[in-house]
Amino acid sequence: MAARAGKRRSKRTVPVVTLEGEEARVQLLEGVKGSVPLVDLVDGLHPQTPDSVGAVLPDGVKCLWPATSGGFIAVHQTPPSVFLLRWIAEDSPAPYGVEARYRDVRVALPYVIVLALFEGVWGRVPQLSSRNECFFSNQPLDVAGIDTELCYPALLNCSRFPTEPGRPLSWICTQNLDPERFAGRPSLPASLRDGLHALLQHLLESAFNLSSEHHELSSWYTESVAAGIDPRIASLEKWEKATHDDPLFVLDVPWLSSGRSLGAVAARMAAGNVDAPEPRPVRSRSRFRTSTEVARVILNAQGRQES
Amino acid sequence: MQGEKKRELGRIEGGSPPGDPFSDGSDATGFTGTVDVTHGTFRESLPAGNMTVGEVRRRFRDRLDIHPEAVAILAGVRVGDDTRVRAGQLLMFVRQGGEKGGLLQGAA
Repeated sequence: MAARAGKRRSKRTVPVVTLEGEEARVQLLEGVKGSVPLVDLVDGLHPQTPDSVGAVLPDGVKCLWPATSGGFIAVHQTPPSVFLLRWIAEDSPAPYGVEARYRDVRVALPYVIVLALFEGVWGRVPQLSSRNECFFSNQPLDVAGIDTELCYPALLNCSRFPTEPGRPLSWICTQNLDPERFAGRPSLPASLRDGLHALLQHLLESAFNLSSEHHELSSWYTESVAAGIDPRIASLEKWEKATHDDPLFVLDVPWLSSGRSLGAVAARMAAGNVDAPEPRPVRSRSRFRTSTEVARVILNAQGRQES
Repeated sequence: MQGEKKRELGRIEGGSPPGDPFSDGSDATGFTGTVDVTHGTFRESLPAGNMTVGEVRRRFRDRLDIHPEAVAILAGVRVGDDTRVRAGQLLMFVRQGGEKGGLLQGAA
């Protein structure tokens, strides 16, 4: 009897929190009541503090962007440098494939921004997907952050698709990237390091050819040259000469603008290549909007404890 | 601004800072300057000025996970292990190989 009385007393001394639909309500012993939208409560419980969940980030990774699928996007920046690229030769007997012939080209590139999508498969470590994109920028991301305007990269094999929802903006062709090089890693740091390493190596160290011109709409190199954005990159020969004269010229080239900021592109990728209304990282808001969604988390956690 | 551009140029192109052309590159303490060394995602400024490419490769093989078959690119030019690296240069170890794109028509 005493125990029951004690139980009743404890019930009366604690506030009661109720989640119902899209609302969170609280009632205190003194009769004070309050309510807020559930998303505000969830955001308050899970403030937006930086968190790499124990992963030491590889060099060049500027930020991680959560994807609604449960994975994330790693945003990597390569500083302006002179590269030795393997490029399809003018007299190549084939535009791509085993018959294609290549030559070395020494060209400067501006900031190369890669957005690598790591997809989260339930119960497994997120791993590099095949949906990764590349852009140029004339300034480092540190200056304007996620408001940095991204430009299309004047590179072969960075594909232009028809402009429509669900399509990438500047897809890095990874048809020949062997998943064995990064799949099935036991931890997030290993998956991030090996996936990003493989992607960057594939982007800059494997040969560039005319595959995008045949399989997709075009490449952003062909588009940039056709648009006549700058006489110094009107041909590879001119690009090489301009590099020799002043490798910094690439920071003055008016690359084709994507019309989007880093935040808008990342949010678009995170939403499955659909332009998102708010180019900001979406955390709890997208996942916990109703009491039903919160209830699912509680029941799943209870299930894990019981099993 | 012009000074900044020149410094950036030195970093990109690999030019060493102006100084005594007969110097061995070291200062009074023996420090020979830093070199940016990259391999994949690894990128570090290392006190490797005046080392040969081969010495950099051996010394930092584990630290930068440099693949044994990686070739050295210095300021955008392929070089051998005997080449001496100057302060301010960018030394990339890369594994050039493979190609992008589908092998077959319609492979996407």
